Amino acid sequence: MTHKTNGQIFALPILLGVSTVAGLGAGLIGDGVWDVGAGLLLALPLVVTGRYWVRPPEPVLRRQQLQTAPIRR
Amino acid sequence: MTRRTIKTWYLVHKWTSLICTVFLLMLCVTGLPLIFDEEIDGWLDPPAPMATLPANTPSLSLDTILASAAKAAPGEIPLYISFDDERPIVYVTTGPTPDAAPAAMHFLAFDARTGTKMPPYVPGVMAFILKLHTDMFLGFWAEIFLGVMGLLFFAAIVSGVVLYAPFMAKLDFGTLRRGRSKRLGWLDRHNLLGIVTLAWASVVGVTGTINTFVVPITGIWKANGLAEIIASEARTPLPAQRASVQAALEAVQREAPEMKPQFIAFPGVVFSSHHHYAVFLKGATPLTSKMLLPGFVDAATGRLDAVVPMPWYMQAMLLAQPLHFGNYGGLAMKIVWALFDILTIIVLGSGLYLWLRRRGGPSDQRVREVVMAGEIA
Repeated sequence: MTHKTNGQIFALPILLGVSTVAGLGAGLIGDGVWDVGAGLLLALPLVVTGRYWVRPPEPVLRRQQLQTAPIRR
Repeated sequence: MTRRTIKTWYLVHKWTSLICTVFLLMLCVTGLPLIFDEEIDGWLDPPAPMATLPANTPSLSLDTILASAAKAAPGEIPLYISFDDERPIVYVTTGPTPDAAPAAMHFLAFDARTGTKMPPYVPGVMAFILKLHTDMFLGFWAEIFLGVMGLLFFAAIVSGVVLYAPFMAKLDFGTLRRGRSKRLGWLDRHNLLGIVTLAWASVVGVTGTINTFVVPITGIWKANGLAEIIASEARTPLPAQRASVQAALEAVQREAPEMKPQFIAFPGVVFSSHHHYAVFLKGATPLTSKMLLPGFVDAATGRLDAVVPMPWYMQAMLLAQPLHFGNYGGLAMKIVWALFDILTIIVLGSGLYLWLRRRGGPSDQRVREVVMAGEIA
C-alpha cells in the first residue's frame, strides 16, 4: 500500500469541517431558510459518520465484488 | 514527519487529554440536557398564563414596574431589568447590594402592560445542572479552571489532528477494522469520531472557554474602553433620589431607533459603572441581536453621557455565547448539537479506554502504533 498525501488524508475531513462551520454561521445569520440550511450543513458530518459506522463504504464493496466476480463466473 | 516530531505530538495529545478528560466528560454529560433547557423547563414548569389584551396595548413605565418590585422585595435594590424575547414580560433582578452573589438575588417577573406580578422564577433542576456545568458549585476560580480545561481540550484536538495524518497514511477515510482486537476497533472509532467532530468540538470548546472569562473581559472593557465612565468614578456618590429609568431607556433608544432593549444594568453592578444606568440595546435581526449597543445615562441627573459601540473583544465574547449553547437555530440545531455532544463523549471515553488498555513499554511503543496505523502485532 502506498503512502497517502496529506491532501488525500484531509480532503474529506476538511469538507466536513467547512460544512460544520458554514452551518454554525448560517444559523447566526438568519431564521427560517437559514436555520434549515444550518441544520443540513451541520448534519452532513453526522450522516457521513453514520454511513461509515454501520457498514464499509460502497466503493470498497464494489471493488471486492469486482475481484470476486470472475471466480464466481 | 519524523518519529521525533510524532513523539512530541503524541506526548502533547496524551497529557492534555489525560488532564482534561474527566472534566470534559462532566461538561458533556451536564451539557446534554442543557441543550434542551428551554423545552425541559417549559415542560416541568409551564409558563404562567397572561391576561389577553389587544396586541397594541402599551407597556407601563419602567418606573411603575420598579415601584412594584420595591414592594415585592422590601429592603433590596434593583440590579437589572431585562425583557422577555417573546412575551410582554419585564424581569427585575433585586439584591441586598450591587455586588451581591447571584444566590442572594431575587428574580421578579411583571406583566409589562398591567404591572401584575407573575409567579416568581424558581430555580429548578436545570438551574442546578447549569451551575454544575459552569463552576461545579465552587465559584469564580472553578469557572476559570474549567475554562483552562477547555483550552487543554482544544490542544488535545489539535494534537490529535496532527497524529491523524501519519496514522491514516495507509488507511482509507472511515476505515473501521472489524473482527480484529477490541482495542484496534476502538482506535479506529476514536480516529473517525475525532476527525468528524473536530470543527464542532473546537468551536464549542473555545467558546466555552471564552464564556468563563466574562467577568475579567468585561472588567478590561470598563477599565480601558469607557473614558466617560472612568471620569464618572470621581464624582460625588449618587444621591438617594434617582433619575427615571424609563426616561433613560428612551434617551438611549432615540440614538438607535431601530434597536430593541435587551437589559438595563443599575449603578454598581458588573455591567455598569457606579453612576450610570447602562441600557443595552440589541439589533432586530438574528445576527445583530447578538451584538449589543450600550448607552450610559447618569443615574442622578438623567443625562445621556455616552452611547459607545463595544470593542471587538466584547463583541466576540457576546457572539461566543450562542455558538456555545447551540440555541439559535431551532430544534433541528439542538438535535444536531446533542448528537455531536454524544459523539464527543464517545471520543473522550474511547481515548481513556485506549490509554488504560495500552500495551506496556516506553512511549516509543505508542509512536510505532501511530505510524503503523495500530498494526503492531
